[in-house]
Amino acid sequence: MEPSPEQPVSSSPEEPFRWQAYFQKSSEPLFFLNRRRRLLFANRAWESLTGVSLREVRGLVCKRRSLDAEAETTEALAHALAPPPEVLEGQPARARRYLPVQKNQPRRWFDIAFFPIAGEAGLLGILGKITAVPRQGISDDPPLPEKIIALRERRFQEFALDQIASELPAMHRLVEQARLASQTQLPAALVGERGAGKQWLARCIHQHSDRRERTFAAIDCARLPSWVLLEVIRGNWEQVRKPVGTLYLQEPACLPREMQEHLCRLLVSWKEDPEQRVSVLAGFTTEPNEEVRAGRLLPQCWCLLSPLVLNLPPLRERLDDLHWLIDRFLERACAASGKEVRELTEDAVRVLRSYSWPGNLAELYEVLCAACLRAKGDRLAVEDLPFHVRAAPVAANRLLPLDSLLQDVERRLIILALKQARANKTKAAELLGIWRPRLIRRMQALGISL
Amino acid sequence: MQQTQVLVYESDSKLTAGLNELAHERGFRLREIRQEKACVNLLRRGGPAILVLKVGRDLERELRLLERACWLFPETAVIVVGDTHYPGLAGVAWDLGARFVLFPPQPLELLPELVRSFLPGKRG
Repeated sequence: MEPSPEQPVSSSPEEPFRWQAYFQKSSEPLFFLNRRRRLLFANRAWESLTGVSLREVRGLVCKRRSLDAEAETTEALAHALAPPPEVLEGQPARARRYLPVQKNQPRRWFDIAFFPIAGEAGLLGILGKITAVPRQGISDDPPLPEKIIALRERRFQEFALDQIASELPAMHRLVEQARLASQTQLPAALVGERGAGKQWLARCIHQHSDRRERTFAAIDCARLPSWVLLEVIRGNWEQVRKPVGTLYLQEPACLPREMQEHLCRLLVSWKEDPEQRVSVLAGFTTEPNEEVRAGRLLPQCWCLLSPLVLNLPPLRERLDDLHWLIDRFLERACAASGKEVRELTEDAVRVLRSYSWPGNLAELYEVLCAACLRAKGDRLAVEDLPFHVRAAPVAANRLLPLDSLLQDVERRLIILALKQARANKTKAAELLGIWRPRLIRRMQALGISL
Repeated sequence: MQQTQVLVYESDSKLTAGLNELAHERGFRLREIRQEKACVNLLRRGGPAILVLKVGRDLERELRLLERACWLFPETAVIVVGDTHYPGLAGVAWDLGARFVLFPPQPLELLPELVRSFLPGKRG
């Protein structure tokens, strides 16, 4: 974005900087939103890319919304240009979005970089820059009909990492790990309880990667017949072999031993020949180290599948996210049930917050679907919720017992120090920065023995 | 517990005929469906379900049903069966959430075993 040498940006120090004229010279599509996410400016490169004149969409509020296949261009544009939540907090961010472009151009994904501009009173506005993502791994087969491509692309828009509007540190970490996984071709293990969202996250990783134009295939290792799994893993099953970009294996510990060995050989060969590589993601419901200890998962297999390990927290540890999860799922539940429900009553939300959610997000969605089916109006009330949710004992306010937490931390540190000191208490005490007699007293109090 | 239903979306009853024996053996309810709306209404009833979706006659409608079934009823296992050689179609079926895609050269005789594998109760 270099200014033209023929025309200086400003002719004198007193003259205000003509930033709009400056940005108009850029060949990169740029746009500017105010702090309320209204579109104030877009340069000619942006208008050329989108086929939309700024005059038509100035003032458009850019926020994420659910779209249907027949969404107007302006709605789709507002959806695509919406800044991720962290940008509104003042952090720059990058998002991969499907952008409606001119009719004579092929549909494409774009990377949009959002740069918040802050002032004394807080956020002033957001500058956005759009970059086309190069298409890779496109099949040489003739293209499918346009409507089928549109159907696929519409579904893909649901798998976006910036849909996670959580403020929990664990979820922020998970999103960053998922972005990292999407940028590498290394295998990754997704560990979480049943229904925690492992497959959804795997699809997000695929969508954010340069493999998104290729297929995402989810293989249920627990259910599919052995001979099918063997063909898939050997790469003989044409529909799964090419052009697969990402293979998601659900519960690979359920694979027979010989298939795990074959999978290991395949993963090693892909490391050596990147051209043949298929990205492998593995979903585990049971803790993988336990599977290895029990002999169900080969240690080498776990080692090759886990350069990256993403732990998905259960819903009961994310109850602060419940409100936006309900918003996300409610529209889908209405479509599934054929009912129009706008919101839940406060009592209903309170009951949902007090439930333990053993089935996690999958159960939340099923509960909302069942409740929508029973709802009589456009609000879900407590009596619409399934009986097992209504009847669950109300959880007491979660306590945060400081003493037991501190003891737990202390126990772990002492055990770690003793391991590093090879059971030498004097050295362990030095590592911990305490006197040896104190270490011995604490070991006795915490019941730690060598 | 609700009875498992296996819905077969096709227009010539061939796949349904091939699953009759399995239905008799395992006691699930087997139904042939010819309309998208009827299929969605049956899935709405809830309970364990497997949808066998034959594609090739009206791709847009069939894939739209696949997309709706996988997105709105994620607990339903959808097996896509095709006898067409349309390139890229298998990939789209996987992308839209099919649990398995059975296209040539794999024979249709494999279908009963695939359906059996997705019946409730079998877990690795």
